[in-house]
Amino acid sequence: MKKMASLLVAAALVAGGLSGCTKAPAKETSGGAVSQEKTTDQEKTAAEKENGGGEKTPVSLTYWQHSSAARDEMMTALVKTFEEQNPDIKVKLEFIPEGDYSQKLIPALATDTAPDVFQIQSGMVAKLAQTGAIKPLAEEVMSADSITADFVPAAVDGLKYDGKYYGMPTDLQTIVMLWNKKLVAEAGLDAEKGPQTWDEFFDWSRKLTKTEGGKLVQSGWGGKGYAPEVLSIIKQYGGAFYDDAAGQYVFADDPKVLEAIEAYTAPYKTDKVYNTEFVKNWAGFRQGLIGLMLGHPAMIGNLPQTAPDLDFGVGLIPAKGDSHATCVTSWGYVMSAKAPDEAATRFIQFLSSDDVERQWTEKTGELPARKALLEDAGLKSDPKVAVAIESLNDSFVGALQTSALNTIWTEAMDRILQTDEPIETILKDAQSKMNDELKNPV
Amino acid sequence: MKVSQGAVSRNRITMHRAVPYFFIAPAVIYIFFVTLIPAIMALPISFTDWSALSPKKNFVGFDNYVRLMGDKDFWKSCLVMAQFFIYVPIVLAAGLVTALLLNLKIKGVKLFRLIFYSPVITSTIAAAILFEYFFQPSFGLFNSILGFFGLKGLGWVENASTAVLSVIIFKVWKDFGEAMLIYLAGLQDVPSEIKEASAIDGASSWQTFRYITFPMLRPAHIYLLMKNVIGVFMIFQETYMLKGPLNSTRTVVNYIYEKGFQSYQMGYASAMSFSLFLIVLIITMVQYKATKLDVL
Amino acid sequence: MNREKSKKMAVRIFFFLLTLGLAMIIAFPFVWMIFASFKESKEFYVLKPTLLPEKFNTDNFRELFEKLNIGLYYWNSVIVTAMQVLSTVTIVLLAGYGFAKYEFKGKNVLFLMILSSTMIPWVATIIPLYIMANQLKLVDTMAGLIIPGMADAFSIFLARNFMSSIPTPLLEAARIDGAGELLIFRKIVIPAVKPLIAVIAIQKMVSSWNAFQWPLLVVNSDKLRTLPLAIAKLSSQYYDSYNLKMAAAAVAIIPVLIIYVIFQKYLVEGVSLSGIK
Repeated sequence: MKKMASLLVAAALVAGGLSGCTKAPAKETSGGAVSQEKTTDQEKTAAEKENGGGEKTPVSLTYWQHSSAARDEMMTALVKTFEEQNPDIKVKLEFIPEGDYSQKLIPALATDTAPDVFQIQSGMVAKLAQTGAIKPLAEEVMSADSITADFVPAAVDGLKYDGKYYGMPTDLQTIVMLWNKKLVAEAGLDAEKGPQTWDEFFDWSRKLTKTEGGKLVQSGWGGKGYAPEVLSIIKQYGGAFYDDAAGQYVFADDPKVLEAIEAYTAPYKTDKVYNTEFVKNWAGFRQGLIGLMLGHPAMIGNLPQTAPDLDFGVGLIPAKGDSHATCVTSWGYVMSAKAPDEAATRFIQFLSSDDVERQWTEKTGELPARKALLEDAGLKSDPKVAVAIESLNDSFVGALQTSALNTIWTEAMDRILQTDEPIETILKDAQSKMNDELKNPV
Repeated sequence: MKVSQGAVSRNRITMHRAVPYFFIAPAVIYIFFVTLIPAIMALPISFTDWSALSPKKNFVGFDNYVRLMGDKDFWKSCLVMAQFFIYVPIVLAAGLVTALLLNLKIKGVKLFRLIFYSPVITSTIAAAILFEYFFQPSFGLFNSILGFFGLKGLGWVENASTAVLSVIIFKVWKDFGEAMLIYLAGLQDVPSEIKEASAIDGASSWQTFRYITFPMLRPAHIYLLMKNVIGVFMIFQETYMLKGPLNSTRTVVNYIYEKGFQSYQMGYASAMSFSLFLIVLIITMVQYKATKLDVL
Repeated sequence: MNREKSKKMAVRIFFFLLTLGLAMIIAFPFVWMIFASFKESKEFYVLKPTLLPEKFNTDNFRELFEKLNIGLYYWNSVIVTAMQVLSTVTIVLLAGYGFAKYEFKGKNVLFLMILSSTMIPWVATIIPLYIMANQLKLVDTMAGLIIPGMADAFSIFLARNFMSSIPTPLLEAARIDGAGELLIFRKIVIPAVKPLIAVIAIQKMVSSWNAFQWPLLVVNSDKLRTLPLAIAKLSSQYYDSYNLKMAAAAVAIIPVLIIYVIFQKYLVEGVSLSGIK
């Protein structure tokens, strides 16, 4: 260990020496300056374009989103409509593979070459706003007041920074409960209604579990600590997860959080209703090996495609007392610092308009964020979708909305479920890592 | 039109001095622009707190390097990576054995050579999807085979204690063909006359292999050893796709990636990268000396 | 005599069976992939997937070519790979020979520089490389896609190792006959290292064809997309088009297979170095 450390010191010294004699640092800073100058240039030209009468030189916007076949197709059609309605704006669409989206976006942000409008996980909004990579929506197009009035709070609160809205929600998801009707009926339970409270839910999960010779052959509930699920139950137990005023995670210090997590993990740890070595949870649910699941409403559209023979019911997340509170996760449409304000905001406004949101829900199973749509009879004609939309009525913003935070959380839950370490220690570890994660980016 | 003897030879000498540089120039220029300059640009980043979310950065001195020494997760990822060194002898042995087999005059040897190389040319994404099926603990192929022989199934990738083993199996299957290819090319340099001569002398095939074939494959051994050792330090893709629980397969480069591209601490990620670079460099130089290569 | 003959026969059969057995194990995932490319999407979500598809349908391939425009991506990959293989073979052979057969000042330092370029994690250098490409206006261009893959440091190492076994007296003899250095390289060295050329070309072909990280960063527009990028685009947040991925991977293998078969000839039957001793 000591040797290793001295080796590293040596490494650092050599590296320091090297950087001292090369001209690279100077180059680096001048490079930065150049690109900053470029930005202001671009801003100027964009502004000129805007002022100089839209019709002659249409403003052009580049737009990035993570891709899926359904989404890409829809977006292409939507942009056509938008361009017809706004002849002064042209939109260039670029679709990025979902798994590699941030890897693609970061170098673009690092060089100030990000697209004008792009999607981002809602937890990133604060970080990007701090660094000045994105800017607030243009007030004259979408006023903060109108946004507050028109949208479900949990859908837009996460996109606010320093009192200003920086984007509009997309890919809005809550947590709902799904159950396999056949397995539930076999166990003599009510396959139409589903469990209502957590106690009932955990009870069902035990009743739906079957073992043969000590080995799991049917799992009652495939829960393994997915962040939005646990955040929801913590909220319902009255636990404090994140302290807004202090800007810090506080969950490891709250006994109610511990209580909620113990309740959530007991079926796995004590009752052995599921095991990650049994089968991957969604794969198992598709194949009728798992009785209950918590998950995103997106699965309502996904399951008929991937498991056509599965008959499943959908209900609100179980409640503690009266509250079916669910955590909301979303991405946001935001615009980069160099984007032409007015045109970009108009595009974002279009993407979150009544009509477009309705289409998203109908075609891709995303939830609408506009209050007006929560009571839309057309959308609610499918009872499963109706449940999903209803879930938004009692919803709050999730506090783990970046992939780094999610990674820390997953690691902690794995440790809780798969090792015998005390939960308190694990939560303390996770909390300090998460608070480190929050430290201001440059 | 008489050229003096002296002029010619002088001319030849100057030619000679420039000639080697002419041969290596394209490679040197390429490496310089594509790797060296980016590396030189990355080095100063390791002394900043750059997030990579905008071009702005602040100088923080050696903070990142100091932080690294106390970062338990970093050291844990080093341990994970260290386990992968078992992969090196396995893949070399697999490559050598298959190359020897395919150098025999067997019926259909050309087809076999193609089949043995097929894992290398298969897309890694597609291969990883298939191996996820095969590794599946309850219903997967591998546990069915173990069960067939009356053995207890393993948790494979889903279990922290067998996850590295699973990735190694995948990686050996995927990459041994490359070692095979190099060895096959190397075997073409072992003249059959020598082998025949030793056979006439009454040497057993083991002796021929031990004292003639194996030593003559030296260039191949050295290359493969060096490449695979460096390769283990740089493991990323396989452990990114087949991820074990509890960070059991998070190697150093996976960790660097997490810090750089998920936590947006590009300064820290660069510091870790250069520390890793130095370790690899030192180990490679030791290897170089140990294998007594003439350069260095 | 007869016994010896039958013993030899037995040995031959043993090795044949051994090779056959190994081949079946090794090829199994590959064969699975080929069959899987004819499966329907839902067959990928069953618990115990079968080797054979329920029925062979070619819908996946039709969708790839007709709807997803994979022909274009294929063509881009072919161009990028061809350019990179050509330039890599040239650069690597020249450098390998230079390092193997000449003594010159700075040789060790330069060689170490080349080798050490393989020891820096890509995570550290890829953004600086992108910054460079951006300043040179190479982002979203074919040149930007091709240039960073025009040589391969490990191959230079390989070439140097193999070429050092070319007998120096042979080269000296040619020099005494008045042959220029380039002529010696072309007429003596190149024909003598065909297996090496085959190895370099095959290896580069495989790595270019599957290259992902850099193309992901540098390509923005659809018209420059390469095959691996197109395959990556087949998974989305909640849904993986495994069927299309398998079909795309199966289709993607064809050119590599063809090139491998062509080069294999040189790999084993080429004039070996011993021939010129």
